[in-house]
Amino acid sequence: MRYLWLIIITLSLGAHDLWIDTKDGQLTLFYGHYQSHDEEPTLPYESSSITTILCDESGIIRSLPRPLATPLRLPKSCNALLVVKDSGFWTKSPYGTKHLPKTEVPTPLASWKSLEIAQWIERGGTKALGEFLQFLITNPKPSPWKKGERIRLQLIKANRPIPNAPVAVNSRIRGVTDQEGRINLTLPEAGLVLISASHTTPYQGPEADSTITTTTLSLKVIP
Amino acid sequence: MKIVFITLVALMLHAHELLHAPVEGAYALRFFYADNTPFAYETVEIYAPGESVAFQTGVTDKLGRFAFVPDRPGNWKIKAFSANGHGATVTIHVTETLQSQTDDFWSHYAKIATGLGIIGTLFGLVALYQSRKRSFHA
Repeated sequence: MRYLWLIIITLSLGAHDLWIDTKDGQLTLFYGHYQSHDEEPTLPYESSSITTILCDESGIIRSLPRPLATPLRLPKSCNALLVVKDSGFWTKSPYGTKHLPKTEVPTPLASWKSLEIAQWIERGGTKALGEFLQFLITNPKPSPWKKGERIRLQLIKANRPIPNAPVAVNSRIRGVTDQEGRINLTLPEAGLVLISASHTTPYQGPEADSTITTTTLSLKVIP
Repeated sequence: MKIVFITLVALMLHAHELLHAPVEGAYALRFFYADNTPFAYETVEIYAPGESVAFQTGVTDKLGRFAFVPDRPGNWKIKAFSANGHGATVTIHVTETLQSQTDDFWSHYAKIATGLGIIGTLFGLVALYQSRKRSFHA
């Protein structure tokens, strides 16, 4: 008897993460697979791929100089930080996904420019840093976030809410933003929690069909 | 002498022939994103239980599917990943020992051997008939 097993992989397919965490007492930008049990957790990245660093220092938004070396070290004096990494053009073809613009791949099926954003909120979190895709915290608190607490977020870009965006917590989809870009989440565990969302817009140019921007907010959660 | 030559030529031709046979016990997997977009045309690696060298490598199809046929029971590791960092690793526990796929291979050559045997027998019968015919006339 001929038979065929069909297994559907319902796991969310995690991409590379860009996140901020403390290392050796310093805030550091990491790239790789956060919470990966199977792969190298961090990957090297080019300092030239970091295009923007914004710091909220006592309510004043400052642009910090681009780094000369990686991993990028960030100042702890900022209430909030936002770092933008340009990961370039990607094109899907029948021969896999290539790190090339659409114009350089035979048989392109889909192509996009990838922008990745890492956010760190030490205090507050209600003020936007530039016009990039980002989370705001609408119920800020002065003390650290605790495991099991509810956090209320709003996803915005250029000061406009982003509705219907899937939001993941540690790479697991937990919900979708409402028409005001808002979502309520329960912080599932202590430690560093990564909250991420993506937004797709058309790309103006022959190199890609769209721009996919992903923002990841790193939160330190205590037990 | 002619029979030996024909046999050798037949075997040489078969050395380059690519054969095929249906197999049983395939496991098919479908990889997809949370919005149901297929994980199409991306790399897959299959690792047999306890092995670090891939048992099989390949790519998912247009619908994000991939199939493999394990040859032993145990925990098989399947890694699917793309160049831009998306990916998943799953383990499938195979309980059944699957049938050997060598049967079809040997049955194919058994048919060739049978064919050559029939040809040899026919030649032998013709040669016997001719020799008897010659001795009868003598």
